[in-house]
Amino acid sequence: MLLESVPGDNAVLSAVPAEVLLRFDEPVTPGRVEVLNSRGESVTADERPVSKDNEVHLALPKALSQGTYLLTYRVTSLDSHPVGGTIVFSIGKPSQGGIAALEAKVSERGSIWGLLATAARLLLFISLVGAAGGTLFHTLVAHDLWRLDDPTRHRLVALTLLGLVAAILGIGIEGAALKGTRLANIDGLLSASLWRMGERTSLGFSLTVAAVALLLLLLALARTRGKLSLLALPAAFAALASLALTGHAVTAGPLWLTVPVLAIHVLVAAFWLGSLWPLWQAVAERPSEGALALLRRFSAIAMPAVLLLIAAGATLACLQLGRLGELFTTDYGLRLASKIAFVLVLLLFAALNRFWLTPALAARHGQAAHRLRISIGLEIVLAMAILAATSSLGEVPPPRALILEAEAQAANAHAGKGDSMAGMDMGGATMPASPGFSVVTFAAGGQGAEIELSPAVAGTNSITIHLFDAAEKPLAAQKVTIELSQPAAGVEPMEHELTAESPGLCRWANAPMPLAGNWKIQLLVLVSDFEEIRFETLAPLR
Amino acid sequence: MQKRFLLTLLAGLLWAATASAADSAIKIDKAWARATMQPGATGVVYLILSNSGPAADRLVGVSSPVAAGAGLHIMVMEGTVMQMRPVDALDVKPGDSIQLKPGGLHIMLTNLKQALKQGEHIPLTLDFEKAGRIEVEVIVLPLGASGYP
Repeated sequence: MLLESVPGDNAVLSAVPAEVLLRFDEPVTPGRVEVLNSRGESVTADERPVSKDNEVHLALPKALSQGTYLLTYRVTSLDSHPVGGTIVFSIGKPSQGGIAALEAKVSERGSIWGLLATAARLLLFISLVGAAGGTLFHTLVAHDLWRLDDPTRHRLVALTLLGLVAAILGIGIEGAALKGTRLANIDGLLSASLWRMGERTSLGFSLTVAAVALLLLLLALARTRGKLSLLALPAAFAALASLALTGHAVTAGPLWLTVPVLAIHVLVAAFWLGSLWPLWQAVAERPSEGALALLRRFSAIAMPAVLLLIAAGATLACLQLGRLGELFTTDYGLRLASKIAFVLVLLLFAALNRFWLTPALAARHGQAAHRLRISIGLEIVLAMAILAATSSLGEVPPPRALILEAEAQAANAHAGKGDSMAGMDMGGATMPASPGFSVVTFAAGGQGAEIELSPAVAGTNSITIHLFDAAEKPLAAQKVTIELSQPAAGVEPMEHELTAESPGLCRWANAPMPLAGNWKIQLLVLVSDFEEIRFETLAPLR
Repeated sequence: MQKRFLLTLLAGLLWAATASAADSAIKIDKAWARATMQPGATGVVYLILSNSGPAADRLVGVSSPVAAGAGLHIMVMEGTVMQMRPVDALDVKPGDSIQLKPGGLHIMLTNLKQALKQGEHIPLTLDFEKAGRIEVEVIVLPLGASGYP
């Protein structure tokens, strides 16, 4: 998480600085850090970012022309999450227009890699469930790992190969996301430095372990009748455990808790979901004795295992969310809620199979095998949905990370490092200078607005508004209208419609406020067709 | 006669001054801080501000003898990034009850002269545009505390 940048966002500098500086709340691995001009061309192509402790420095060329520049960065932090952002600053006079479009283009480049990373993760999950989970099934339930028939063995080998490819591609995708390489830049994508960068992150480490384990599993499965088959079970365990080496879940709490809990969660989930396909096949091919024996042995292990799985999942969810309300109000929470919903339906089907359909099969009801097959088939579809929901969780920060990071940022920003922050004397106290004037005001319904005026001097001011609801979540508005007036000086209300840059964030870069004194600011926020919120406050201009 | 009149006037003025301070429409409740490990660190104070009067008021400053600096801040979301911003003024309107709490508005105490020890009370002064200076006692809760008990 970025604590500070020099120059700051939206700063207008009179001279070209020697370098730009980014300060984070923890040591980071810099990926791409570059400065683009208003035409989107890099002006720092020859410079390399230098990282020192929590800081990243990038030298600037001396001969930068007047205008607006974008400092864009991608770094990875300890929990493997690539963090990216853009700082806009101007030298001399800001360029006219085009910056917003350029910013959108830069951030879009990152989102493509996020999508590909999710896809690679989904393929890896499918492979781990199918191949590693399948290996567990054939060892613990079917007892036939040593004498697999050829179709089963080929299926397991194919799934292992899929995972191997997904893990290796995942390393490259992480590197590309960090470097911000364009999808069309084939040379860049094949460069060794990109892959080394992906491999150096904690996600890259986890994927490397997964790839090695899957390679061993591949060797073991390809020759099940030889001595190498002994390798299959440990390789499957290692491949599954690799998922516990990285990700949000690991950094959610103390490592002694999260790593084993996550490992158990992954192991049992892979066993459970990985058993579905072989069971489905067994019911189809050997509906009488063979399938029944398998189902009973599976269910004897699965019942306690699933309870363990749910306990582990609930522990991780609690650590991630912090409180239950986040389940429905944050992006992460909603994704997690959909996963939980799928799991609940899956549990319903599991109970149906266990308590009605399997006994019916045992009693040799005519339709029992057919019904059981449909039911397990639906379970497989649900399993895919659960895996898809799980892989999409990795791309959004969990709520506890947002709160923790913000608190860390708060503490760090104030740890007495006034060196690069413009200090303002307040009765012997040094406080970070606000860019002008900022006020927080609340509406009757408990919604809040933080309004900043910069420089808060008579003339053209930049007004930034953060809107939040009573639970302090960003307030998404359909329409925000601002009204400025100075009744005492006879300045009639001047109305302006603002567009939201992101949920809850609006800016008016050049508000004309030609007089000093107390300005009345009114905001009309249209939340829905039926709800309008009104804020009113005063801002003094020098 | 004139002397007595002046004395009465003075007494009346004094009474009015104390009464207005005592009857202040601004009330501060449940002020707490989180314990810190060492002096020089940054402390954080949370509390509830309410205004039961008919007129709007505004918090314009905070200070405490235990810290070299103090200021009001807010956490805001920009996209998926949470940022901390300094706040110069906080409107406290009639009927408002504003809760300063983790993840939102809070008071930072910078360069603490002493570590904040669990169980002790520290003084904090809030400066209002109309109500003037209001002193509050802040109780220090354990390091991991997340809310007033």
